Amino acid sequence: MDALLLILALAFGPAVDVSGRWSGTALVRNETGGQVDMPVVLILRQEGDRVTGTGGPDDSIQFAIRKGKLEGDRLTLEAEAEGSTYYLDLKVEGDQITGATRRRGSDGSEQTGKLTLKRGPEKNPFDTAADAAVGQRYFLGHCAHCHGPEGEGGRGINLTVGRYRMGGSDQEIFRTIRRGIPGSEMPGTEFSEKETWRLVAFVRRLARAGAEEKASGDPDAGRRIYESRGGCAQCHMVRGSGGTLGPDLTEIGLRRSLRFLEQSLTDPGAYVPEDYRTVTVVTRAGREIAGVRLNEDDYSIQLRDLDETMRSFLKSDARAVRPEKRSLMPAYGSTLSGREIQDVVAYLSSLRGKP
Amino acid sequence: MKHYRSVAFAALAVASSLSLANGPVSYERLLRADSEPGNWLMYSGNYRGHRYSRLDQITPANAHRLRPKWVYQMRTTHKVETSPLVVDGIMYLTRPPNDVVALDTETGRELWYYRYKVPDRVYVCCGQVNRGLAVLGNRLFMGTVDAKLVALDIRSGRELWKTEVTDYTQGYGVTVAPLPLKDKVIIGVAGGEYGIRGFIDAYEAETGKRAWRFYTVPGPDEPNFGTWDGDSWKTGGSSIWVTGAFDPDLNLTYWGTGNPGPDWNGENRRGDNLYSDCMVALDPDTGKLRWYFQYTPHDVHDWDSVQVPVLVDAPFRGGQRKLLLHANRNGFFYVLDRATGEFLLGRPYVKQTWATGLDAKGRPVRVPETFPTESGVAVWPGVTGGQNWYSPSYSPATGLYYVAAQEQGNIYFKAEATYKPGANFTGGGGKPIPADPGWGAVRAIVPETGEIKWEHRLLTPPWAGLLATAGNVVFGGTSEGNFFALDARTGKHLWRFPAGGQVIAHPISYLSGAKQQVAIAAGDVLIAFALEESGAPVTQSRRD
Repeated sequence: MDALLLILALAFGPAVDVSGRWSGTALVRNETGGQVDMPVVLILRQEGDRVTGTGGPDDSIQFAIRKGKLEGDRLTLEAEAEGSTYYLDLKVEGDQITGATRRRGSDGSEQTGKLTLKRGPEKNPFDTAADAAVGQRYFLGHCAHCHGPEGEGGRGINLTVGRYRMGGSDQEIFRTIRRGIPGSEMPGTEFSEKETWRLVAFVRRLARAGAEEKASGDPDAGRRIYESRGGCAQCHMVRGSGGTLGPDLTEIGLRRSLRFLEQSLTDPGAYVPEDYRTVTVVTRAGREIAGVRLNEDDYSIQLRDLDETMRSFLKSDARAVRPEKRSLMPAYGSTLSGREIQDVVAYLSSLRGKP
Repeated sequence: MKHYRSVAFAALAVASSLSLANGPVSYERLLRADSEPGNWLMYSGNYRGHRYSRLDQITPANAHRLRPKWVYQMRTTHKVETSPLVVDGIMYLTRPPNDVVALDTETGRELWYYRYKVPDRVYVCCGQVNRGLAVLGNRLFMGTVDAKLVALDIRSGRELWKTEVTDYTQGYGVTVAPLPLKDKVIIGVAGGEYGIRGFIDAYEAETGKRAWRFYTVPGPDEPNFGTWDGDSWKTGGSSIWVTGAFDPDLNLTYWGTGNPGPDWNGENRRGDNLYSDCMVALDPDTGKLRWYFQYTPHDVHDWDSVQVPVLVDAPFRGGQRKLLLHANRNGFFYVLDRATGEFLLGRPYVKQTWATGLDAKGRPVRVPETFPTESGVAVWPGVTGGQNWYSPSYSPATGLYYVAAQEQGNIYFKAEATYKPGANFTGGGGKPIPADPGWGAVRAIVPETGEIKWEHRLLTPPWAGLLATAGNVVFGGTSEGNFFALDARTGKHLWRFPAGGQVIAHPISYLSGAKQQVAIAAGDVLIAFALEESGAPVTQSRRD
């Protein structure tokens, strides 16, 4: 490397760091010649002079940046979105980015605009106790249904653990609340920025409260019971081995509180996940076939029976189709001692995804 | 019967030549749409919003012989809500978002295809959908998700003109099937979740020039402006996204209007918020308002009142009346006098908890505890309502009004709403009540009393419209992808076909050759059904 370039790189390279969230507007010309403000959000990550990340009109709609480079204070980005290629030629000045944007459509159309972005808040700007109290109200209304009123988990993960699959910075939690987790049951929300930050404030406090209780049992003893006497692996899968009748437990320690796990062992019918509802089909001949409901419409029902065989019945051929509140899982309150139950709970709580 | 048979033979002759053998679809033909049961000439089949077919070949006795005759694959990931048109053996339909295709009704083969380029970003709340076309003369008309109105030559699919309805980047779009009326085409704008100011427009069919505009939110100095707080009228919503009806004798066109904006937070728009959630009756020549009836004053539950108005002349409490029937999203079935807008009857057709009843003028008596809160409150019906945008059906043969009802509540919550052009402006939302997954039913309502004569229960809330026929069959669809037929008189289940994709569209019926077909979109395909002929495959060509 040329000595001069090296000096320049040393002088400018580390001086500018564009990592983080940037938000602002692009002033673009529309088809009719008028100008409109379009919202823009960039989430950037810088490594040396290479810049990666995403960009889009808001936090919930983001497209991958294909090429990104920082030379001195000049930042060039290229992204592809919905049949168009976007070219951004920007200048970085502290917490502000300005410059030109150009969109080229696959049909040959072109559009240009001016971009002004400010560094988005990295840290939660609404993080007082009062903000968190408002956030709690939103939480009870919108999130508690899946995450439990105290964040203890349920259909959604246990938020008191403080481990988040989609990242645990304020910004990442903000984004997860905004856009949801695609491909999971966690939906996006339509909260305003302020409301979302207040939710972040509350969610953070849930984890900080470290409310994460410590399991009192012995996880190794619990594992042994799980694998032998409990017969749990007959129906449940952990890291690829086990049965398919019940839910996969590979990540159960992330998702459920100790209290919940204990209840599942002693009173499994108290909460049966949507995808594991029990149903009994009574055939015309009077035979009863119980199983886990896989699918249903007005005319037929599909289930996985106790032998894990997938079966389908026409309702018109059945004497009755009985949805049941009970779980197919046995209650362990009478077969395991209190101590043993605590051991199994400790083992389950230690299951936190792939090692 | 004799009359229909001669129509059928005319249609048979047409099918073999595949042209507009009966000439252009004049306004006079549209007025007499009921006398051309072999065709489906407008969104609801006729101007009165009946979605009723006068064909009677398919009956409760033979419906079990219905089989798919052909399938048209749309290959789209967008929701298919389209209601096709059929003119003299050719079906015209939109493929979402805004392509148009002409198909031979006998084979399902494409005759021409029109491609419409949609911008990268459009502002429609709930999918880039289109509900259908209008035909007038030799032209087809379509509104687009980027708020344009397009006219095509029906013979070739060639674009004749394209008019900008309004600037789509401000949150506007057009998803409604236009209503062709005299020499004009009437449409309205969607965008009730984007803080738009709604309107109904009429355009000259010939030129695409705008003839009039009626704002569904009054401006300063207009009557009822005072029903909005401060500047809230500017973002008052009241969108138009389902096709209205027309009474040529009264010379009135009827349109249901959408929710006020923001949907779930009414703090900054105190007042009744006219003309949101209304039925408005307009003079089609001038766009002047003749009367209005508001179903849900100051709505905070997103109960758009866009459901198709059904116009019926029937005895009502001793005298023959010109009625307007309407099962509203708010859970009540209404009967209005369509000459004056006078409220005649209102009765719940699904579970509702938000009103203790309706007063003598039809105004709901509200339960204050059912207004959305920040932590959420459970209310029936849910956000999607007792019914939504999909069509009801009315059979003059049975005198019954059929509706696909959703039995479901929601937890409604309120949130902050700040208006930004093109951004969501809803101020809250609704989510499921854990213990109430919801269910559905097809219900037959007696117009004079609002009583439910029969119901056919569905496993989950439906999103498909209904079609009743002169053969006394009611067709409908389920969210699990079944297309089914019921006896219109009793609700008895007759037949079903598992189509493999959610039905979020309406059935239509028409003749191909001399045979009755029923078509429905399910998932991203359109399927045409016909009766299986004993001993012969349904696909046998009539043109050999």
